[in-house]
Amino acid sequence: MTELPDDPLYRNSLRESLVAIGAWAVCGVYAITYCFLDGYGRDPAEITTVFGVPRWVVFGVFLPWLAANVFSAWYCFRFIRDEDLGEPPEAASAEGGSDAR
Amino acid sequence: MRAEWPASRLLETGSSAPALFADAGFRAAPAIAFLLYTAAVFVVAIFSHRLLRKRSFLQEYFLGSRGLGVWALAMTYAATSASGGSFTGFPALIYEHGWILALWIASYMIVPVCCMGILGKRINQVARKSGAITVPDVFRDRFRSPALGILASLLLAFFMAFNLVAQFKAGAIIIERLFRDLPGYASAARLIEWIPQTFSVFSSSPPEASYCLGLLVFAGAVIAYTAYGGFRAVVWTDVLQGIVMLVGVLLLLVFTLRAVGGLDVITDLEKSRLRATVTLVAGADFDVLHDDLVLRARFGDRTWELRNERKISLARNTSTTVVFLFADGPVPDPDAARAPDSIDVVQARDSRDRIRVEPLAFDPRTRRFSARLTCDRDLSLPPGRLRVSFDGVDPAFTLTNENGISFARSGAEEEVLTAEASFIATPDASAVALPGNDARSLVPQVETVDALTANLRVDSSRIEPRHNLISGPGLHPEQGDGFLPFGLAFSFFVMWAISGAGQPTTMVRLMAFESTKVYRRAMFSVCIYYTLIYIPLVVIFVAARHLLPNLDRPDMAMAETVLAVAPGVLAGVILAAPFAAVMSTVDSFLLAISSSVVRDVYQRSINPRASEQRIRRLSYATTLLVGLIVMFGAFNPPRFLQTIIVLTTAGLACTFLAPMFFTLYWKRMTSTGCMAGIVAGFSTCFGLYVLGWLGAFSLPDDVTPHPAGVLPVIWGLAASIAATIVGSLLSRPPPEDLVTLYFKRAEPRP
Repeated sequence: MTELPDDPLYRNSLRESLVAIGAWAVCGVYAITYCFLDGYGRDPAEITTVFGVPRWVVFGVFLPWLAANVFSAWYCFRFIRDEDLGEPPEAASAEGGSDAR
Repeated sequence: MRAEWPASRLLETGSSAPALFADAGFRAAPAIAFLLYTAAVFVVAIFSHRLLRKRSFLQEYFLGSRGLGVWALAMTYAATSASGGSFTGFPALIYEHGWILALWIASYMIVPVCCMGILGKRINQVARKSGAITVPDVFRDRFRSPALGILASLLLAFFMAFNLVAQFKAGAIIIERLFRDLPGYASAARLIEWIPQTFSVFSSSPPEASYCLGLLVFAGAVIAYTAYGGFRAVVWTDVLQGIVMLVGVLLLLVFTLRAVGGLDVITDLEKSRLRATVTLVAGADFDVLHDDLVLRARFGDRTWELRNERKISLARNTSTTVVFLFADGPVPDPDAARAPDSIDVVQARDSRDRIRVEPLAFDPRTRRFSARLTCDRDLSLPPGRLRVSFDGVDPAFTLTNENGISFARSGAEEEVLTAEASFIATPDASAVALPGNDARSLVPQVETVDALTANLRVDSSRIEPRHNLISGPGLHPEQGDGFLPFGLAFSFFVMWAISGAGQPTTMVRLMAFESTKVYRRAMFSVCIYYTLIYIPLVVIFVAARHLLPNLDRPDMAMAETVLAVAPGVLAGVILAAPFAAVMSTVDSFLLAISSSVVRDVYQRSINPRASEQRIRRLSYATTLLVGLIVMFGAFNPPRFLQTIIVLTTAGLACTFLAPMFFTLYWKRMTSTGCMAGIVAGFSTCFGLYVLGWLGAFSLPDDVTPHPAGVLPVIWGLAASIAATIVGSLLSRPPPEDLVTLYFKRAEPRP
């Protein structure tokens, strides 16, 4: 008996999901580490500002946020694949899900 | 600057925001904005109901026929996840703790990618394969386990009902704040005074009638349009609400920055602000409200006034350490100010001191005044500590007590204490002519009761920069390591991004999009939307701290800032934003609970062959009934509401995220593993909060536990992941046909 191959949507979704988790980890490690090193326990006299915003906020949060938006654009428009999601079985949803089949 | 006028006026008069509305003659603006907004919501519900009649009821009522487009998906996702907390709790935290909230909310930079990207495409496909309409449906069908479906339904309804009580309260408060000064509101509230009276039987602190009226209006509107219009009405109103929120925040950013003169100004000011940490020793009980305790710090020939930032309560012969702010604003020479020559108490006013003055005699020639005084508690006033003025006397004058006054209790606690006292009046009093020389015609007003100064002394002090507002980890009054230590910063990065993916209201939206193209575009739209909402919110409320530095209730920071900086009609539009945020969350949760009951419990477990007509009626009735039950709970909501919102968010994520992730992506996953993951996540998270309530791992006045310095959501997620994997591996592998159905291509490759 020939084993059926994996559903490509399942494999692609898993890949996209792992990349999303990886992106979250990179953002978290960078933002928390940078803010902790540059913004925690500092005397205000030492804190420089960029357009009135503390530097650690600009480089630890605001700029990474914009970078995350650039990543999101790549992720949404380049990385995620368009696939057919299928159609729901009419009888199943109308009559109580797959139990009714 | 134009916008400084109302802000400074608020501070000078101490008037509430609605009072300012009344003064300016534009108090009807929020009412008009609210009514237009509510009317638009009902129009949307009517259109949705028409669609509902043309399509399969269950698919349409609970899932919008899986036909959400880009804007519908983006806005319903964004608006549902931005609850009332985004416009009340979050601004309050920024107002209190400053720039550190930028890190607290930082994970929203990647929230859409995580929350939509981790489960999105796959949950939509699995739901289509099985015909699932709800989240419990997915579990039930994927494992063919009715028990799993019912368990998921019950836990979902449990958490969401708790959350809804808190959200209903937030909605009621907003309506009460906006409308209570309008003609007719007070009269209408009087008509329902029987409601708080009824609750006084069950509770020692029944709600006020004006709050109950706000709750009835809010609940009536949300329950009606949700029950009538179903999922599509909720989604379309979410679109409307999302637009209102975005426009409101961007307008507020412009008005606030104009009012403060730019961020450079406020950050430079913040750097030169100092705070004093002072230990006080009390010789009497005291209970002093914000700003009512004044110290004077002397540096050479200069003095600075310090005022308490928070309410203080202290028992006789104890000491406390209090943070004081420099009331005169930034200090020109911060280095010199760090070493004062002395700090003394110059005024302390106890919030409980209510002294009544009954005039006995007054001689304008000698300016001597005698009176009988009554007071409710033991009090000792040295000379000069009680000042009295009079209503309607020309010329105006003030009295100060000449001798010491003592109210001493002799017996019962309820005893009203009396004392006689003589006063000396200011010179203007010599020109006063009393009718018939009768002092009893005077109407005295007690201006100042400064009873505690003599009973308080400064034991030690430390003056330092208020760096907590512009650097980490931020001020926390009870927490020695600050507002956001490293462990909590990590916890919140997990909390918002990862646990957001575990919310059933998010999952159900991901089951409803039309195509992957819609899904991708909506995800990016939400990224931009969050950027335009959360970064401006941080900037706005850092600036608001400088516009309105002495708010007693930081959770009103949004409303007070809007009223201070925005012109009337636009203020109404902006104030619709927090209301829209609460509404958009409430309607989604309401529908999620009702779908659990109707679809998962009734239709799939009790009566699978129920007619569409019967399901339709049951759905309307359930949505209505759930709304009424939650409204009943919100009449007298429990304490720690913000904690309940965090608990339910964390609890839902701990309960559903790991089981759902493995359900979608792990072929070896079994119903036993799924059940173990759900139970372990729920019990770990909920159990830690129960321990927090009992005092373990938590701080005074904060029931949120922090075992090992991180939030319960971290432990709950870890327990759920471990239990899901172990439970699956220890149980028999899943049936081959289920694996084939959900994981394999339909046809073998040629």
